[in-house]
Amino acid sequence: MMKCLLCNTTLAFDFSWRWFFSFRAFETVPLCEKCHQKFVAIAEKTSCPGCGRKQKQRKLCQDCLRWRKLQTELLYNKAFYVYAEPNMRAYFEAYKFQGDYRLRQIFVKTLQDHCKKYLHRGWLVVVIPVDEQTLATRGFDQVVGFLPDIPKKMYLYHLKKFDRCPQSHKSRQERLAMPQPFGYCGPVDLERKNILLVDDIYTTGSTLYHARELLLAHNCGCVRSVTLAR
Amino acid sequence: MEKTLNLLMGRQLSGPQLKALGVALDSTKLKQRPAVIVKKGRIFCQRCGFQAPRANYTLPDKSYYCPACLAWGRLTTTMSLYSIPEANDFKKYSQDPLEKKPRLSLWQKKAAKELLQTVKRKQERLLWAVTGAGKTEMLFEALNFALLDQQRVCLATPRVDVCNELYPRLCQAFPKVKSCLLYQNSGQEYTYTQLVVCTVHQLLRFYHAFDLLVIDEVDAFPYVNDRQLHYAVTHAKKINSSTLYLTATPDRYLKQQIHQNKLAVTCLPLRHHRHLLPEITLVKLRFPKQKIEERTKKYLIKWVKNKIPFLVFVPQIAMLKPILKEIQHLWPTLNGECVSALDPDRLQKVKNLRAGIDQYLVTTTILERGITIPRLNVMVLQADAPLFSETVLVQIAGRVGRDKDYPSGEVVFTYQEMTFALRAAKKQIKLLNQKAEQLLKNDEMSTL
Repeated sequence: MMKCLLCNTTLAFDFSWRWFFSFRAFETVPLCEKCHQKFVAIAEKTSCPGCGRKQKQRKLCQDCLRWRKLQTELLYNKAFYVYAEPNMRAYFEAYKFQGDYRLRQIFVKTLQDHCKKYLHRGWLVVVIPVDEQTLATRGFDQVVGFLPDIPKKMYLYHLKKFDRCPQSHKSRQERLAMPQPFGYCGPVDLERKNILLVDDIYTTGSTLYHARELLLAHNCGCVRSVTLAR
Repeated sequence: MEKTLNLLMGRQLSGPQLKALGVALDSTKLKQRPAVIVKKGRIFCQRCGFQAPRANYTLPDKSYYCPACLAWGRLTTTMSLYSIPEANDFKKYSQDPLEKKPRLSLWQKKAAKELLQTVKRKQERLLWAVTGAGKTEMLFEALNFALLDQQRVCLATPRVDVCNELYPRLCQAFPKVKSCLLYQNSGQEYTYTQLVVCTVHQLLRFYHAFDLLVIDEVDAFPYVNDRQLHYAVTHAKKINSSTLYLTATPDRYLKQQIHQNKLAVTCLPLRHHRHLLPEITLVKLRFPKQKIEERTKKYLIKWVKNKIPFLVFVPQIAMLKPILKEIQHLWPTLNGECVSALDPDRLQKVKNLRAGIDQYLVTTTILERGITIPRLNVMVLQADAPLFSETVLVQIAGRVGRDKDYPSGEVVFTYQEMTFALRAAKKQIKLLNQKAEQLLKNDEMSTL
């Protein structure tokens, strides 16, 4: 008997004949229908192509226009859910800050399916790291938790100098003015391989663009990104 | 640092919480015990008593965490809980801390004496006194004894509203005793005091701290059927301590314990003003679709005519607005509001009703206990909804006739199908009234 991870109601399974003859394992998300609908999904057709923000029309948002002025190419981020909304915030509060590690199971399938598409095409999956101090207190890396079955590359690490104040405590201006927070520890030459960056939340994009800058310096190909929330 | 350690007497904290307070973990005063134990593949949380197969609660470093008390700071198998044994470091009172003894009736005095005996002998007792019997006043003597004896005393209750009502009354009764009020987001910092008033959830932060633990409204949500809170209660008090449970409507579990002689009980079926509980009037409805039917409207018309304030209870928050609109439509000149748990200024609205600015409130079960308004009448719409259990219904009926000058009132429950709870509620009130009548009769005989 499985229970919804958020509201603790018992889940009902509907086993179909189609599933029976598909000869696949029964895939479940431990979340009830009601709780699932609480999260505001972002439709790709109308979202901003640059950062994945939820919009009414598919065109570049103000933030992405600014990034385009600074960078040669955008990240073309894919985001699944809206972050600026109480249910998603409550989820991250419980998962990251209270440390309820089993809540990762809710979005494992969503993120892994997306990553698998890129892996089939020979892309590398690179994870945005958590700094060591947070890792020690929290006990887990929230992004790695989302990708248990994916071969991840930990090419990036946090430079010690800059991790005095966690990201979530900074203002928007502070984040944009932040110097490069990461160091690189992968192979010297990436041989023009394409890379998919994975993070949990896209807020200003500066973290992801900093990571891309480092990877481009080591001769990688195209860099795209995916985040759970935007 | 010695000072902060003394202030933490009776509390239990995890390592990171202690570090945040600036306490070194190697102090000799600190008692250490593992936070989460693994036994036969199951985890046992030592703070909240949660137990489950460990596999679901694994962290990447192969430790396990308790998912039930995360809001109090996560505990894992690698962590420890620290506590400092309670030393009862309180000043001695030369005279009674209870300044003004409340006037008690004969039976109240008898009940108070029994409670005092229980505290003296460090036992457990349930005080089953009907709504409006003056439970808090009966406690005072027992509290007085415990405080004089330098015992640490805690009054816990599942409801924040009840906490807020109890605290000023206790402060008034025991002005010289240091006390603090604790609940989530209360804005008050924890201080080391002899008297603690708190919600039951706050007891998770204490370990072997109290000599006397009083739990008011034991049958209220969320304490009933919550293992975590029951565990917290057993661990917050000292091993050799006394416990008093107070309620007007014991639930099935408590009744069973009384029946099996596991729990001593003091029963008081009569209110302090020596009048019987108001009987429930049941109104069966014919048309389920119509919101307020003629048969129920009849009562409302009567109440409005006589200018009696009334409460209308509904089972769902979604029903509040339509019912309010309908009453407003019927009597546009009448002031009224709707109240639910989601309402931030519900205290103000209750005050308005008390002051006579509003004449009625449409409410969910949030106002089922803890409010006293003279000359109140009560109506429950859809009393056959599963939410309205026996205890809830008896509590609602108990809102009526609490004042000495207006000891009677009307309680109207509307329903479509008879339920077990409705029948049981009616039976319980009848039984209590029978007992009360007997008491009254005996009393008359003795005075003659």
